[in-house]
Order: sequence, then structure tokens, then C-alpha cells
Amino acid sequence: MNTRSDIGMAIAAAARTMHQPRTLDETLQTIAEVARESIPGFDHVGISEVHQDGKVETRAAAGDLVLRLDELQHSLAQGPCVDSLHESNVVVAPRIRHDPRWPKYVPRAVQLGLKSQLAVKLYLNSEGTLGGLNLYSTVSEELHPEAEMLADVFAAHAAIALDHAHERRSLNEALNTRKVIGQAIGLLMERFQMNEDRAFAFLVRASSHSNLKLRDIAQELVDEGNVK
Amino acid sequence: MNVSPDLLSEFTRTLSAQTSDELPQRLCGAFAQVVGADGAAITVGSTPSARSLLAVTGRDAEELEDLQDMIGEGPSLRAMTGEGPAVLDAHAADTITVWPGLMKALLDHTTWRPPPALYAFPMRPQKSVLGVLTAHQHDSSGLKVGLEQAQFLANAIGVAVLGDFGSGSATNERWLARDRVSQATGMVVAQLGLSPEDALAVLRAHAYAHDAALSQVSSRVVDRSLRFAAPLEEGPS
Repeated sequence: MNTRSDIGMAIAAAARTMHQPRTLDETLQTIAEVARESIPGFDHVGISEVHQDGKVETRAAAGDLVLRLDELQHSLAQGPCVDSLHESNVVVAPRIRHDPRWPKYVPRAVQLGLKSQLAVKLYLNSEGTLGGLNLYSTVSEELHPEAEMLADVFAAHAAIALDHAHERRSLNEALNTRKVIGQAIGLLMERFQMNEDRAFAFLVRASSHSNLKLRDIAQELVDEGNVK
Repeated sequence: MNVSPDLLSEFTRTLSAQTSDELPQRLCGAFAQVVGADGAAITVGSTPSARSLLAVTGRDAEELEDLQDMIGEGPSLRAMTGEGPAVLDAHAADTITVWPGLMKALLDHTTWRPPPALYAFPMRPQKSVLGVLTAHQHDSSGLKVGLEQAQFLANAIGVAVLGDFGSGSATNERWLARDRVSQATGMVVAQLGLSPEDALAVLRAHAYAHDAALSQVSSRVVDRSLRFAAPLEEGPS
């Protein structure tokens, strides 16, 4: 999501799924459908969620192959969806019939008509893996050059939808952490007449020596600095 | 809610014409332009302690946020509760009773005559509030678009802001360290032996008394051209 037109598309895409408050499943279903309309070449799009116990559930499906292909990968424990959840964030599989990475999955999937596949992990900051956006094509062997970027946009939005309980907590936490670290740096700058870079390096060193998180070290310093 | 597709395409067009390198800055500028405001501010965080200024279109927008933080009331803070847009219209009869402290400060302000109107929208793409987008208008002629439409844009901007955070800035240690207001707060903690809350209040009061933005005062503390020590010794504002 770097260029300006991407941001515009992200906003347009997000906007189309936000017309009114609705249930999570409806939101995810809309994201899957809009993704299928917007990402060239993919005619089956699904969104899956990873539960606490590691089980993967298909939460939304646009296209009738989604459920079968999702299930096939999870029962065989192989395929682009599985890899995207466990290893890399994005797994790109054009011309999948020639792909040697998933010897058990590929022949069965090709039999169902699969030509290419794209799997994107859904995650948000430190919250870990939330699920996956899974795109299947029975019409195109090659991936459109913009498909991966567009998929990222939809994945970001699906992640937000899945994570709405966490999003606010993690954002507020990040902001509070930032404040405490800033205060600790200011304190060090004043007390030891250091510049900002030295103060920051000092904090990082203190954190690695004591095995405490940067935030906790900073909090301790600020709490102590309080009593002059 | 009916939102005209024209509004969205106008917004994306306006957004691509913004020149800043920073995404929040571009979103902020485009929002002000599309709703017909004189300026706007984006703050993130949904608790008073987490609330942080992310982007402003200019000095007025920044001072209006500072003022609300100092006084502890105003539309931007009200919008954080997520009950929908909050509007301060200086001409409305009940404004003085709803926000007595803020109204008094706005009326006292020498450069804003008449007091500007404030329109604050919670950025709330899903259930929870991520932050607030506040637009101001000096002549109180009303926004070009309805509150519902502006709220819809604010939600969409919330998604973009969160995406930008998720793309790494919030976990980047350098970003975490570079918060001038907090650094200045820490320096004042060391200078005066105050709690961070009180040190921040000292900075805010100083900014208000000298008709300066909190960020300006903070920068002067950090570059050591302004120092708070007992007895209080103040550099030229």
C-alpha cells in the first residue's frame, strides 16, 4: 500500500463494505465478494479464520469452490493457504499444475479446475495470525500484475474486521508505549545532558542488559524520575 | 446510509492532489478540502491518555486541539466516546452551557473572531473508535457535505490510518522514540520533579499563555532553548 492510487483503492474498497453496521459474517462476505469483483483473474475468493486451538474455519466464500479447496488444503495440511498461515505472509502460485511444492494437494485441486492461486495471511501488528484471504482462479494460469497488491488491501480490511476487538487495544497500547518511551528519553536527556540519539541508545542498551522490554524500562525510569 | 459515489471519487481525486509525503497529512488535507472546512486535525487513540496528534493542516487546527486537551472538554474529546459527530457552533444558544470552558477560551482568543465552528467525527470503521477527525471553519457557514457523509469519510480515513500504522510505523522503535511532546514532558519531569501528568500540564499552560502550539513549546524544551526550573525561568516566547 504505497502509491497514492493504492490508497485511493483501499479507501474505496473499505468504503463499499462499510455502508452500515452489520454482523461480522456479513462484513466478511461483502469483503470476499468485492474482492472477487475487484481483483482480476480470481473467480473464487474466501476468508478463513484461525481459532485459538489452531483450527481453521472458512468464514466467507464467494464462489462454490472455496469451501472444497479450503478443506482439501487443511485436511492434507498442505497448499498455499497452509503455507501462508504458517510460513510466509503471501504465497503466490501461478500455473499451479506445474508447482512441485504441494504434491498431494495440486493433482486434486487441478481436477476441480484450479489454474492459479494466491493466499494472503491476515494479521494485525502483534496480534498474530488471524486468518487468511484465499483467492482461487479457474480461468487464468497467470496472475495479474496488480493482483497481489490488491489482495493486500482486502486482506488489511478483512484483518481489521476480524480483529475489531483487538484493534483499539493495540492502537492505544502503541500510543501509550510511545508516550512513556518519549518521556524516558526526555528524562535522560535532561538528567545526563545527552542528545536524543544517545538517550535512545541508552534505553535500548538498558533494555537488552536487563532483559526488560523497552516500555517497562522507560516506565520505571519515569516513575523514579518523579521523585526528585 | 446513502453516500454518493461522487463524494468518494472526489475524495480520492483530492487525495491524489495532496503534496505531503505523509499519508495522514494527505488524508487530513483532503478531508478538510472535501468537506469545505478551513482546516482539520487527525488524532489517534481513544482514551485521553493515549490520544496523540497525528496530522494537522496548520497552526489553527493544532491550537484548537491543544486547547481542548488543556481545558479537558470539546467536540474532539466528545467524539472519542463514539456516539457520533460532535459539533461546536458558537452561535447555538446552548454551546456555552455544553462547553463553558472551551467557549470562554475561544471567545478570549485574540485572533479568532468570531470563534470558529468545530466538527469532530469519530474514526470508527468497525465497532471501536480509532481516533478523531476534527474540522474547523472560521465563518461558521456550515460544511459542504452533510454530517453523515463526512462521518462516512472519517470512517474510511480511519481504515487508511490504521493500515498505515499496521504497515510498521507503530512497531518501529524510532517512531516510538520520536514524540517531541513526550520528550519535553520527560525533561520537565526531571527539571521540576513532577509527575508526567503535571509536567504535561505545565507545558500546555505555557503554550496557552504564550499563544503557541504545544508542539512548538515542546520543541523548544527539547532543543534546550526553554527550560523550566525553580525558580521558573522562561526564555522569550
